[in-house]
Amino acid sequence: MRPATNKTPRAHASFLHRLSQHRAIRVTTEGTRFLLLTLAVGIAAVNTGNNLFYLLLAMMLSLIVLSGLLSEQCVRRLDFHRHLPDSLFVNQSTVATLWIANHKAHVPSVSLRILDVVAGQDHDRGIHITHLAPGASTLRSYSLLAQRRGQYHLEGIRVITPFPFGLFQKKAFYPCEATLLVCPAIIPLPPLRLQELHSVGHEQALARRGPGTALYNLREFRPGDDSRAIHWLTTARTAKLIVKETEAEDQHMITLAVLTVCPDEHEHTFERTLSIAASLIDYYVKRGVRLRLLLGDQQNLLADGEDQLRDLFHALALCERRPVTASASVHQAMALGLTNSEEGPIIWLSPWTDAACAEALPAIDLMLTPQTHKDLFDAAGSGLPA
Amino acid sequence: MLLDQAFRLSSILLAAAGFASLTLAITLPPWLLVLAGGAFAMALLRVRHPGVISDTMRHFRLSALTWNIFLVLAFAGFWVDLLLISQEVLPAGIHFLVLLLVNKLSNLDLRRDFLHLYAISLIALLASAALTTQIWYAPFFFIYLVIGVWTLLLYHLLQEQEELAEPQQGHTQAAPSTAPLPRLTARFFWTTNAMAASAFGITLLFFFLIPRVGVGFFQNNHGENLRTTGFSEHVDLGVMGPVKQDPSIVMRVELPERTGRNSKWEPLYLRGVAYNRYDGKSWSNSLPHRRMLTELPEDTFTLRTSGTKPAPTARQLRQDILLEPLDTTVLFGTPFPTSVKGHFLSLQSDLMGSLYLPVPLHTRTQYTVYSSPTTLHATEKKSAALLYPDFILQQYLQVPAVNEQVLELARQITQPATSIAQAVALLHTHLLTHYRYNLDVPSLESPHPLEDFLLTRKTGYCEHYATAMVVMLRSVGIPARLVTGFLATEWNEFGGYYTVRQRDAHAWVEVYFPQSGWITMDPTPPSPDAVGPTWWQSANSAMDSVRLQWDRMFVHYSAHDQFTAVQGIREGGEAVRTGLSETLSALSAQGVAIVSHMVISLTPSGLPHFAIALVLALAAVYGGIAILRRLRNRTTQHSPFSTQQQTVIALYNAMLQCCAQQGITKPVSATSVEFLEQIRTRWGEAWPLVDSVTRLYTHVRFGEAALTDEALATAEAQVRTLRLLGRSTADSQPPSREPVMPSLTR
Repeated sequence: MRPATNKTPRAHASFLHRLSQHRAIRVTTEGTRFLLLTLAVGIAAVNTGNNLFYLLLAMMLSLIVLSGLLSEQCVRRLDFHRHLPDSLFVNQSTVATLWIANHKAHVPSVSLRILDVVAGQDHDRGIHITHLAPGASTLRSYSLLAQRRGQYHLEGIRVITPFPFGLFQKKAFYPCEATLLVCPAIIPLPPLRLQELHSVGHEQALARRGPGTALYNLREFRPGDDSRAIHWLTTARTAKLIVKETEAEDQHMITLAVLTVCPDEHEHTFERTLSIAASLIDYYVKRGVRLRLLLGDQQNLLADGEDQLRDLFHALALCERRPVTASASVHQAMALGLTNSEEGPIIWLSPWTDAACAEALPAIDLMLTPQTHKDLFDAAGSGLPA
Repeated sequence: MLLDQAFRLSSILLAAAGFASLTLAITLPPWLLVLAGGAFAMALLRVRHPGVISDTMRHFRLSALTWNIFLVLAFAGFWVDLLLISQEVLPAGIHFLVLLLVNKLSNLDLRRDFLHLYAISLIALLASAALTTQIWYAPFFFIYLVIGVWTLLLYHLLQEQEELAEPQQGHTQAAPSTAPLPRLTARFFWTTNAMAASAFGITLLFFFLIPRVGVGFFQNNHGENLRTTGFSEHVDLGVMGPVKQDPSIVMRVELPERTGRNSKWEPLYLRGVAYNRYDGKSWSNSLPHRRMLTELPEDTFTLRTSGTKPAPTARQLRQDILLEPLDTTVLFGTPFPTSVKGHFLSLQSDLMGSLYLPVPLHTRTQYTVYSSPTTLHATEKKSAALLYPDFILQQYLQVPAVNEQVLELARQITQPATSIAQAVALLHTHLLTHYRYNLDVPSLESPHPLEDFLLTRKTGYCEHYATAMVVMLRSVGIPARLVTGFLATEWNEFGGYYTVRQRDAHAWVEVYFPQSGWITMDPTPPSPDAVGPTWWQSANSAMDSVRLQWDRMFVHYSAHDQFTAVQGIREGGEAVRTGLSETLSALSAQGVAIVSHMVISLTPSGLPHFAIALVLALAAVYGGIAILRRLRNRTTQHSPFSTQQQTVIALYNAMLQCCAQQGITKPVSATSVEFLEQIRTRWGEAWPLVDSVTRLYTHVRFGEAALTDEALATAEAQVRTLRLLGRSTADSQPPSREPVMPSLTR
């Protein structure tokens, strides 16, 4: 979680520029009726010259002005700090928190609605503050859901208040920028395919530390070790706390090669491919499999345990589709990358097949293309945006 | 009071304010008043006892179809009213509006019903504004504004509560069914009233600033004018008698240039119409020819003909007159008007100096008259014979066929006179001293009212006196005429103006002298029943003064007033700027002199003076900046706690004080929980109370939990109980006063 603080608006542009950028007024339904009534009274006053009509007109105008003054008092001198996760997954909600403070000495802020501004559009998160006392602050959590992979840029915060009469909605904008990485959606893989995926590369397994039953090593106890792993016999013999390490049952490395070349009309398939890649990464890494990700002609990424998992997801989040014209170079770079791989089987994921270039690739253990493994792609497609 | 209860109450009161102003502006039929009153009473009962009334009303509640039929019938009634009964749009429309109000008051369920009710109440206030300009409109307007602010605010807050409670059900239900609504606090009450006061201030500001561009296309020019008598072409003798009891205000007269205290009580003659023909029973004007007055710039009309020299303004008497709508075209002013200033299309004058408008005015009018009072020339005071122009002799010596005894009486009275002026004075004195003022005179029925007055009854009122004097003067060859108008005697101390009423209608005499012109003479003795001002009259005067201010500042506020105000502000601003500049110059000169003196006295030999001056100036600037910084720091330093936290801290401190009075003091190093443990061991019976308050304190102060009204009230009650418990404990068995918590205080 990292905080995103607002910049001081007064530090920047001129007053008029700030005014146009940071303030807006919308007339509500009741406000429209009220304005029409005011107009009618105004016309009556002008037509008749009756000063008592002018008095009524002045009363209605004063209510309009009072609305403006009080709503301005409500939305000014607020402070926002947003706490967000580093990344999130498509269609998977995450919790964001917003700290809101009223820095006014005497005036409370009333009837506030807080919205996120994303790409110039207001997104209502359902945050409603009925009363924020002078000098007080409050913390609000809300659910954040992204529907597209990539960078999710929050420009700032929009504060809306209809206070005091509900005739107008005063909107204020507070710059509070933050950027999130939206990783591809993780989908449940079809059970029938899991066995096949699980068995990939078993024959090439190497002994290494990991979850399992066979003894791999004995070492001295370190803080944070599971006390159940203490090897009491050796401990008694050496008079030191000794823990046993087990040998991992899945002790192999898998290379996941994702072809990033895809024609424009197969954009949807490309997203599904990345989503399947993310799901496979999640599946394998959680089972202790060492993983190498080869994303088109980009650099190789390695994941040995869940600590590196995030880097792989971030790479998928930022992965860009390459045009068909770059197919040869991408295939060439990937072939080179796969040839240099030292160990383990290779799973090839491609949203689109280029038969001419595919011949240059080394031997692939499992090929996942939309044509060959329709069940995986169909399952992934259901949860992805069109 | 709960939020929705307050909202319903304020909505009904808003409608009541609009309806009340309407009922004062127009006479509503009694059945409509009863119907509306019943609807208001039922609506208020529903607010006060919502459950009981709703249960009762369920049995008697009319269906929607019935109400629709009611509305259709009301609309049909509107047309019947318009075409057959009232035969005017405004009264018929108002009757229909009241029926709509009754309908809405009986069906206040949905949010739109409340909006309709507000619209109806606003139209009611608008209608009353169209019908009246009376002062009572001001308090109703103020009340409407205050309740309006309350209602709009409560409407919004209730809507917000509903949206929070039931976001999925839209916004159509007026009151939520399940969610508990907040109560109104004293702070909310005063804040809302402050908002209303602000709204009122801004309203006044806008009212005076909005440019007056009234074109008057649809102005109602058919208001009822005050009926006057004595200013028509023919005036019967005795016609003024009946109006001499009428207290209706006709006009108010200010004399802005007369500031002397002694002069304010002088009676003021406001000349209306003069008559030159008397036929023994009625007066008439045989010189009906009128000429249009020349219009000068700034709405000024002058009575002098083109080519003549204007009269010196220094001797002129200025009168600012606020005239009520009258049924006559006559314009009033003190004798003898020279120019008139007012927003009139045109002005006319007859040959006897009376002023006329083209048509009677239907609205209250303000105008200014400049008059040149005439005095008897010194040479004419002793002249035994005067040479009158032929026109005067032709027009102002006519004597009707009256009893010879009247003529003989005139000759007898004037016989000792050695001059014309003395003859006039003798007649004047005779009438003043030998006749008695009495309003109970049936002159209109008498065939010879003058003879009855002079010879038989010897009692009468102004018309009799004036007629008698004119006839007797003419009978001895002195030209004279009768003038009707008003004699202003009622001085308003509070407003500084004359209040002129119908009962001040008066008739007097103008006597012609060739050099002096027309001299005003009043032979009527003062009314015997005139008494000093009572408290009631004083109160009336004060009220009338307020009424006049209301009329001036609101009802007749005009573009001209705006222009005058702007000019006044500009002139005032210039004066202030000039004064300020002079003061600053004087102060700076003094300051420079003092500094120079200090520099000279402090400068050691060899150091230039400007170096010391520079050091002093720098020190002053530095000091100023330091003071400003300190002030800024002071203003920006806020309490680190929120209001709720401060409240609960104060409460906790009060609790600690109670404990301290029992000898149990909380050490600075002890936490609240440790102190609670100490209370458990040393003052067990107080522990539950202290525990509860401490829990609230820790939740709100450290946990930043919200402090509800209920929790606060409970905690306050617990502290009070603790205090009582402390007193009773102190009376019975004082607790031990051993040192506290040695483990914590070390």
